[in-house]
Amino acid sequence: MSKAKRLITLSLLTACVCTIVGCNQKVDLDNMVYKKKNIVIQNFEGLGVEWGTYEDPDKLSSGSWERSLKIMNRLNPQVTRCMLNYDWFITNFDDKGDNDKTNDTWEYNFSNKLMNNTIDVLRYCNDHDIDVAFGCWNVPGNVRADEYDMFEEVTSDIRWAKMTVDVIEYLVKFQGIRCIKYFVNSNEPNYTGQMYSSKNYNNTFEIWSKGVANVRKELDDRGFNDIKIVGGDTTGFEGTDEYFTGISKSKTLRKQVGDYGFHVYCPNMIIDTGDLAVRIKQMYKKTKKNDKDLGKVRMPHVWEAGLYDGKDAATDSNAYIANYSYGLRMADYTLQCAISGVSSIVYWDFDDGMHFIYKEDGTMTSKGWGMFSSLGTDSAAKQRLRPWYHSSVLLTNLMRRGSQIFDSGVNDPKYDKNFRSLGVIGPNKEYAGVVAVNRDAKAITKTFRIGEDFKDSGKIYVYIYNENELKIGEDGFVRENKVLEMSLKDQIELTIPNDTLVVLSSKEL
Amino acid sequence: MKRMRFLSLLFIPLLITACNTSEPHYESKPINVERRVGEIGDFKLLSPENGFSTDSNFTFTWEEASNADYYQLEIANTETFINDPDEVYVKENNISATEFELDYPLPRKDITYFWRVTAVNKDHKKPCNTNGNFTYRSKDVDEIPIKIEDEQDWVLHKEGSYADISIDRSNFFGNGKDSLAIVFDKEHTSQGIPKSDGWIVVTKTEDRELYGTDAFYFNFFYSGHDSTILIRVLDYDGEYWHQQVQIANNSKQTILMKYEDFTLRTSGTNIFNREFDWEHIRYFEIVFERTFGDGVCLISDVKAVKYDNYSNMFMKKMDFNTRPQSEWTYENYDFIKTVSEDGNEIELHYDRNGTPPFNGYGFQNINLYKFFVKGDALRMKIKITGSSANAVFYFRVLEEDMDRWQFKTPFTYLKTDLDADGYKELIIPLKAFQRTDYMQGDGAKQFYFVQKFNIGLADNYATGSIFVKDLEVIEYKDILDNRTRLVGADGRIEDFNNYDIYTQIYYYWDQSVVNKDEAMKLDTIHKVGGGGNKYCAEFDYKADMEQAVYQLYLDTKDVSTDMKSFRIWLNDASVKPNDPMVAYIPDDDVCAEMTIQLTMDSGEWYRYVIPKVEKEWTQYTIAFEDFELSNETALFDKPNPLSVDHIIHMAFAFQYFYYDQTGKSHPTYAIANPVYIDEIYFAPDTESGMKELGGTLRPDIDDETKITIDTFEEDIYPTDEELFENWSYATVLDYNLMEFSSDVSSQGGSRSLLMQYKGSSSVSYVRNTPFSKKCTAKGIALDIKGDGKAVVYLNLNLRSGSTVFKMRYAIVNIPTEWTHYEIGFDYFLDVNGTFKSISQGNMKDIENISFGIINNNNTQSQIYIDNMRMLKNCEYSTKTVTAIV
Repeated sequence: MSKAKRLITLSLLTACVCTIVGCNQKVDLDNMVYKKKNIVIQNFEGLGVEWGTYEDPDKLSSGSWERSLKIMNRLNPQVTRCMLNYDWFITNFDDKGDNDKTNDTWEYNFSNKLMNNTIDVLRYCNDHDIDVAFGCWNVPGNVRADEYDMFEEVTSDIRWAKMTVDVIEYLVKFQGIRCIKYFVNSNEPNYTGQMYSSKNYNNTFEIWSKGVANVRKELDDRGFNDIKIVGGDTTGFEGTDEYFTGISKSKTLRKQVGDYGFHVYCPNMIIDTGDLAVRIKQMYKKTKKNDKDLGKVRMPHVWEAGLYDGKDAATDSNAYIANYSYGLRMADYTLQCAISGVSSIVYWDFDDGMHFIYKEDGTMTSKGWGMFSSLGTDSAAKQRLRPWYHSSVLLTNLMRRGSQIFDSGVNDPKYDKNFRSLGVIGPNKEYAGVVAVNRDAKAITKTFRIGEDFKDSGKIYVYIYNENELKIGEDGFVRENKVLEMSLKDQIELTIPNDTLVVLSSKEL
Repeated sequence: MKRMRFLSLLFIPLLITACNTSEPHYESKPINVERRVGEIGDFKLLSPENGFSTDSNFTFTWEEASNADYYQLEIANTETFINDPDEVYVKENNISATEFELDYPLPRKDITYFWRVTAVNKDHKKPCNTNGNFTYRSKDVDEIPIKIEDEQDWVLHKEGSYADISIDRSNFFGNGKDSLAIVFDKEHTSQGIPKSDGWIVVTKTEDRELYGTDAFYFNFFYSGHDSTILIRVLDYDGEYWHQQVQIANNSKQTILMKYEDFTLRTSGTNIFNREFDWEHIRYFEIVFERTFGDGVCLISDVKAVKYDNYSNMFMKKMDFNTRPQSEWTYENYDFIKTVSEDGNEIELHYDRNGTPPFNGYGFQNINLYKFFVKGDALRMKIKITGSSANAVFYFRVLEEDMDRWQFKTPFTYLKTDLDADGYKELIIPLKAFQRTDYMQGDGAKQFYFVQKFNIGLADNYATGSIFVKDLEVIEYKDILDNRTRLVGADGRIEDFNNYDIYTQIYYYWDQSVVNKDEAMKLDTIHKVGGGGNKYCAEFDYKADMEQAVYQLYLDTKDVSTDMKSFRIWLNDASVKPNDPMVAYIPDDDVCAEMTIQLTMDSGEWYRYVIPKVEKEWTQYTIAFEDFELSNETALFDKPNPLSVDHIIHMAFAFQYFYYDQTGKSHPTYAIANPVYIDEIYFAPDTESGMKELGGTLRPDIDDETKITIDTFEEDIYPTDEELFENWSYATVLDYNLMEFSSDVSSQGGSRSLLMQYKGSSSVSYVRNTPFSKKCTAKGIALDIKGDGKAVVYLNLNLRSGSTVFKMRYAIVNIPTEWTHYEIGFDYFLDVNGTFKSISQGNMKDIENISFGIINNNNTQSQIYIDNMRMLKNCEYSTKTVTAIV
């Protein structure tokens, strides 16, 4: 080695050592600063909630729809997922008595309460600038009868694409619905189930991919180029990995889908330990290897977000849905997704009154995953707003479309698995905010500062979410605990009680 | 080298930069969001004030409590704020304001709610000084629809029979609304699967509050095989309540069902408070039971309503002005109708000498087109004028499905026990109405929607009026303290002798409706047991149907506990239909299976089954120990043995099923099969046994070519009264007289029978003829001594199925000396003009022989008869009249 080379090598080594030593000294777990270098999402797409067709709008009592809209107004989501079934309006199906599916005919009876109600939902979204992922749960047909002969080919059936775009065309052209940004090519396609209990039993990634291609072509052919197809809508990490890998490796399919969409019903332990973010980052990283446009052109989205613990399969409800802890965990879930690069999260779901579980004896009971129940016949305890609605309101109103999301830099659970936070600078730098969760059993004291520029109001609205400190106004909606004449550009020191979500915002949420 | 030095210098800023990562110093600015501590000040509730009543959203307000962080608002239907799923309780927490808007409905209405507020800070909670209350009312709604829109809303129970469910959008009922159509066929309802066959449940999960209503209203149509159809709902606490639809087959019906008339389904379902919590229903269902054939059912415009809003659709008390007389119709005679101003009374006048003249019978059809209110009987007051001897009063009801039911009674009954104004109070239990020949519906008694009343008379050749007033629907409780039969100390339960008219049986006895042919009648013709036995009873059933059940509640407090058995007289008269598929069955084998059930006050059901009730009067004695417990699995405690002092209920059930020769079921639905019943007792016998009762007519022992019906001798009738064991007056006339006479012919032994009569209003003297099934004959013989002017109508009353044909031969020019007549059956013709004939084969079905006697000069007189016999060896065409020397 020449002298010069030795000098350079020595200098580099010295620089590295200095850097390491210097950085180790700077890992500050007490003072959170949100700076440009920690931006994880440059253009966040917003938070929202599943708000689909009310499967039996007759059950809505007088005034309950208006109340639902009032609650939706306050939630103020920017993205929703709206699902329906084509069975609800396909009529006069005629297979012409042959095996040729291309000559089959059918009609649509859109004049029914289910479509009317769907349009009401979509029209609200239209009027409130909400992006909608619209889709159909499954291919049509009775699960035991398969009267349309679609269960073998599932969404790759040539008629599925036509039905899909017929429906979209009706909504867009005849009803003026412009908010549909994504199409969901069947719900959770990787969740196949058994014959006679699932219409999806024969599905594979390849079948689904073929269906996506068919729908994409039909959409494009009929001028709906701007409606994207959700890339997956899968459930669980394993199944999602299969679809994300398949999509990301296929140049053709990458062009046909609009995002990487998935569902996560997360066990408490994975959230509580911060492991959700770790897993999503791993998945993100793996997918990114195949698709460099992940996070740029195709964003990751969670289209169904919920908690697994407490799920009662018999009633399809969550026993913990009314607990304060559900709201805290869903906020932590949101935070972990966002710092992992997930660009929008849709909570499952808005209202118990939407979905029902249909029993063998022909009866149906409402599913209990909502933020409240609009069924006037439900108990008062079910109708009141559940705590997780209030925590969600804080997040949906802070983490708006176009926001920058900042990691704290110390959210890795190796530092502290009980504390996480993120910073937000709103669209056009109109405001800023901080979301932090203390999952510890004891109070902690931290400081928070937004390290980038934004239009400062000179105020900090402090919202504290736990069973003892949440504040509800006379209208039943969440209120700030305190308004301070301060700036988030300052280093704000706050003692966070145990098991608490804190949201600081320069604007009133 | 210089270049190398330069390159190494480049890393110096890097080193500096890498190490220089510290931010400018920011002074931490602590913010305090600590919660308040210390005592919380007193505060009180402001509004709503106690007693406030509302049916919509409102706001609670209260005073600010010093040092409070936030408030908890609790609302409950219990004063102690019980947080229990069975109660209403809600807590709104973390309220930072001193007011809160309740913007969702409380689930129970029209009750008092209590509310309280608790102020909270970090270490203290302080309740308001006093709790408040308010009333949350139901909204004043007239109607709440149970919508029929999409077939997906209606789900078929998978464990039942398959049915096709769809929405009929053809405006089938003309109500402008869609209908739910339920279609099923025998292929699916009779698959030989006991669990599911004939059971169809169609469910809509409704989850709806029905406050402010008290009845369901809907349009309904059913066309198909026999079916029991229920409307069933799951109430708030999870109990199933149902009410049967009164089906009018093939009719577009309007149905109203009061919630108060729903009954709790107890079999295989959860029971909670045993109260119909209709205020909030969870499921609305249409349930088909015992539906083993094809059927189409449509239901539309289902809604919860206020019954009173539809009260004009119901009849409690008849207003004869309800429908214009111009729309009324009549049969045979157009009565002169006079309705009182208040509509309470109608006079139907008939004129023997009018133009056209009243010629004996006629019916006035009076339009109603209303539902009966809930009730058990029709009550009315009747006044009759101008009757002739045999006149019969009819009151008929035409149902929605064109089944016409009737009550009839001789005018003579209506002329006894009159009030001061000459009216007879007549009570006709609805179940006592009997079939007519005009049955175009399903043959089941609904008495729900009634099209018309038919009021009329027959066999009346006079001028007069029928007055009907105060016609109303009543319940038994309006006329009876209770319907329980007090069993006599002698063990007598029922002998049917204390009734004035058959309808009174129904005051105490109840009958099922599922067999469709249930009917109870008093009978003087078929009875046995001597003159002291006024009546036996006829209980009917339909073949190939569910059991016809008759039941009576019992009070056995006066009965000796020495009674160890149950005793009853029975005589089956089931009639085999003319169906070639069942022709192979001997007539005598067509006998009802009878189940006798005695129910104990401790819940045990003890049953005894008589596989075939004897065709001749037989006394059955059944020891208690031979009854079998039939509901052991339903009992919580060890069953008690059958003991007379604990018997509270008795029931009889009859049924018969036809099979073809291959053993396959072959339903004939043969109607009106009678079983005669009498002398029901608890008895001291400890062993079961059967004993044939006297009275059966058989071929004579010494000459099997003859069947002696009556010789009137002392060996048959030791006392005068015993004549009426076999003979009876079928009409009530003041000149009725039958008695033994010593006026006999040379062949007449020592006694004959004197029959008195008068003029043209005929007597009707009836001889019961319980022929043995082995009897055959071609003609009848009797000795008569006339008075030179009598015409004797000799009627052989022949039963065929449910019809009794009056086969008549008129004996004229009867000599005044004893004369022997032999008349072949060819000479007996049906008075109604049918081609019915009597033959060797069916003569045993002659139920009785009646004598009508008239003359043309309106005088009272007598004739004598003797030695009445059936003849086997004569010809059908035989007719000989021989003087007896």
